[in-house]
Amino acid sequence: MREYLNGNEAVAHAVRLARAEVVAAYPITPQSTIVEEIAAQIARGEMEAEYIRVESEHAALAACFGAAVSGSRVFTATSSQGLAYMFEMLHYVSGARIPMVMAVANRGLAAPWTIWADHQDSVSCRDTGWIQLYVETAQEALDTCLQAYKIAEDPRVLTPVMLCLDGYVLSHTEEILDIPSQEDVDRFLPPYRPQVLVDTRRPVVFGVGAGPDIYPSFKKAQQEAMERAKEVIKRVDEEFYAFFGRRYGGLVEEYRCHDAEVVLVTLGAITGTAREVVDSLRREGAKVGVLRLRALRPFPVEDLRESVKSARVVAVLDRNCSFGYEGVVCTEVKAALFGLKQPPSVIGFVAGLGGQDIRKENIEGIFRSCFNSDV
Amino acid sequence: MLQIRWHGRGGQGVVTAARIFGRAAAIYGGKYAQSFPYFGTERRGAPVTAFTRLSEQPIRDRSQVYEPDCVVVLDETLLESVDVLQGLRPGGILVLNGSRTNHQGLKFKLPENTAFYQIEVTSLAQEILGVPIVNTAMVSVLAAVTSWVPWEAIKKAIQDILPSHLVEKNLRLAEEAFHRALALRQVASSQGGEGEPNSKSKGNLHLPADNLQPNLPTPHLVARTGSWRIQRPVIDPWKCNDCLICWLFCPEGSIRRGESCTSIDLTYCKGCGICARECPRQAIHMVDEALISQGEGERLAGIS
Repeated sequence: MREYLNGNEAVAHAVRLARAEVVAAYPITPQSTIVEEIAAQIARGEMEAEYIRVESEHAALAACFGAAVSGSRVFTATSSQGLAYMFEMLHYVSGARIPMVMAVANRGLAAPWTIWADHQDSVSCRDTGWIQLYVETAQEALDTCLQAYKIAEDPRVLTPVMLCLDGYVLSHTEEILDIPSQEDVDRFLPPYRPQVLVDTRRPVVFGVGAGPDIYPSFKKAQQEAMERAKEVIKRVDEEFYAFFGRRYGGLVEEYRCHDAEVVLVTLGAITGTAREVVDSLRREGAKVGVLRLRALRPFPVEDLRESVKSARVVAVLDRNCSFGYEGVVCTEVKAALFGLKQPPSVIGFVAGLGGQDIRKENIEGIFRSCFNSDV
Repeated sequence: MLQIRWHGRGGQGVVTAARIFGRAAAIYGGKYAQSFPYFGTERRGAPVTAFTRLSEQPIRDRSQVYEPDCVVVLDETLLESVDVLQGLRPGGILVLNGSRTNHQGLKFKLPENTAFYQIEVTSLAQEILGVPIVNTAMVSVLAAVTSWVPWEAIKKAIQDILPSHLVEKNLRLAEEAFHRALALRQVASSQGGEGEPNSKSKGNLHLPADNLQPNLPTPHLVARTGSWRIQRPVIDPWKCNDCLICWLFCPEGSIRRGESCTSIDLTYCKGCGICARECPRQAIHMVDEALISQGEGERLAGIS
């Protein structure tokens, strides 16, 4: 069904279509309207789920953990300080291999206090063992939410997914999108059937203590699952395409990269503006392209290398900063390209922190400075 | 691509206006559309900006709107605190809700060939809705003066978006505003030459990354919250006995304790009206800002 919705509403519809059974969340801007809309859908009888109001984000994720190990498909959402408050539980959930989906409406972190978009919140959780997928449009937010359940619940993966959408720029921006039918989604996404669950008749323990003898084997298993997730993310994206006619490149999405001399690497919604700039510079004859990283974890090393192989310069636009070094994605890109025989030079740009608007002129400036660079 | 910037105050439905227009175009008007707010940290009464983009192609640009083709102002008192003409393209459209005829030379600041329409729909909204909320009326006015979106599409979008108990009244308001606007003549079609009203947008090409400026409605680190006010408390010095109950209750600390009589710091007073309600001698009256600037304040407050 053709609709005109913002990113948060799109996610709420996806959670309904995914037949999530337990939703526990604590409100925080700019996420709040996701769970408000879910609560409204439950109240109107459009969605069958238990909505648990909790006293904090930490409790929200703990409640989801409990519901998931008893066999429910669960959902939560947060932003910024709320995600920071969840930090302890993030490791609990991924370490216990709980497949769940959490939306993060990206917002900067205080101080100074801000409600506007950047990626500092989710990027700071890069090493918590969650798969991180960043989306570009409201449609992709909806579609990726459906894909995320299938990825997380795949027996080869069993890893939670963080669905990251830029605060306001996606969360509060309305645009045209298609809402798939429940019948089609049911065919694409079967019910959640966990292999192991908490059951009083057959008791098991989740989150058990592990001594130095076996702890590393849990962590090794997590790492291997993440590696396997690369193939699963790609495969699920293709399956989604077969059902709904839309796909997003799996781990990375290229835009006019095939012969590009300068490739700009992006995360999230800013990619749309960058595409406009690429088209206008291409009309002038400049060979430029954009590579959007859809997945930050697992990191798409192989796909990235393939996509930038014609590039002389790779520019990286980071809406975050690892203080004392540089933008996090820039470091990741450099590491991924290290060891190539003739690697492109990598130049990092940190911009758009705390909702600072990134204009077409700014992205054009990035491309021009890369062409003019001596590196 | 057509870009519209909406100006209003928190609580006036500015964000909804941007959305209704976008939805009408996207779902019923055969176009692509995008609508989004620029929220500050402010609340009711604070200046709020929202945007709508319309296009024949999918819209990928996600930066804010800096050079609108059209500016719609829901509340004329904003002209005193917000530069509503910022970036307006030459040959663009300005639609203003208000009854005042002279806005400090607004006409002389218009960019070249601006089509300027002024209409007063607040009293119409007051009459039909019982509240001065003009978003559906101004969406309809814009549809009437531009024909960018079919009128039927606007009506359907209003039905879709508003809560069901508000639909009937708002459709009546929209219908009336639309038909009044069809008969509307341009107040002025400026020929330009006076000043450089959109100069702020012109010098912005190739900004260095560290010079990016978000389009803030108010510089909130130094927020002069007085600009949020649509009603002003006026103290009757004959009734006030300096008991300072108002000082105790004012949530903004905007009551000044003077030598002779208590007064109000209008730089920060948001016009919430708590002082007027709490004053035991009914010495404080709330008066519309729009009327005060016409020198009517004391008479309206009943002060002789």
